[in-house]
Amino acid sequence: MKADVQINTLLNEYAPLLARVAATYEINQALQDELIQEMSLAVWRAFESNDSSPDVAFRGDASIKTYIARIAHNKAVDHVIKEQNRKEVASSESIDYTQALSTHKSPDDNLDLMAALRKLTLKYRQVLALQLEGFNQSEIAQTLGLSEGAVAKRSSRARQQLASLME
Amino acid sequence: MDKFEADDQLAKWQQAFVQATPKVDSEALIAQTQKSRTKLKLKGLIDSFLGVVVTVFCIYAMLLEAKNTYETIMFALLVPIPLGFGIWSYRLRRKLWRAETLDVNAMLNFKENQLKHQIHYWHVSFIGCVVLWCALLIVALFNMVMFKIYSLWLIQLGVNGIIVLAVYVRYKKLKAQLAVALESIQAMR
Repeated sequence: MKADVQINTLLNEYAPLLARVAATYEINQALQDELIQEMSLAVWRAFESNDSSPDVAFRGDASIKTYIARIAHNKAVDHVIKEQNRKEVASSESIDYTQALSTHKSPDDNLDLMAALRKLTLKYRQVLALQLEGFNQSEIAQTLGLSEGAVAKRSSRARQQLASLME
Repeated sequence: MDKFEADDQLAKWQQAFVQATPKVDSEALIAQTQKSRTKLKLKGLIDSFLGVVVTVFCIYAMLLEAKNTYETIMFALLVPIPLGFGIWSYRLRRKLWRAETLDVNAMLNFKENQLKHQIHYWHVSFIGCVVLWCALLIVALFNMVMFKIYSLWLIQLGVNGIIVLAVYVRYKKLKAQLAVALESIQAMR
């Protein structure tokens, strides 16, 4: 019961993070909700399977936020793989997972940022999304399984591309 | 662009990013997650229970229903299968769940290996099905020649032949899709 309450608290605290990660991978609202659901279940499973309480389980390891971000991005990548395997025809609403960049503008700055993020290729999108969440280079490297040098390179390219999309 | 401008730009983007957070009803999300979790646990329990029931039935049949040594041996061979399958699928599920907590690169490696193992699994299954079907063919021919029983054995051969064909088609389809699937995973690195 105590573990359940702790997991509830974590999900409550990190639901916005899960929602933002889902929004950077999927534009379709229904699929986004499904993805957030899958992320929550994966987070629950991950914490439930730890014998000790979550904060003890992470002693000496990544922070809880990094751990949850890792799970969220894994589920999102899994979602992308599944959607590609389903070979759904890309409608105007669905994400184009190829490298096409667009200069589409919108009066709403917030929409511009999310829409522009989705235009980036996955590897740049992941790095930048994590940076925007407030993770440092080391944490991003841990989450993605990359070297800090690779993260720095991708971050630089991603920011250049995002800046040109937002102009 | 100097570092100060870049940081200022990142700060602005971070602010916009947080403001663009989609609305999420945390309470509903937690409730739905609890429901899904309970469903999964229940499914796992039912699977385990059914495995135990089938195993117990096989033991009962082996001890009390078998009419000769051949049948006793047959039931004895069946006993470990349901439990073994249950344990195997439970361990596979845990492996898949653990993969969700790896870093993204390691998870992609895991997915790649999973795809390759999947092909291997279906290839071995196909060979196994062909061997079993050939054994069935021998037994069927024996019974048709010796005891003139045709329709039962022809039906057996037909039905199992369809299973062999289905396994073959699945194996070939997955094999054909493998290169594209691996490429799409590679594109994500």
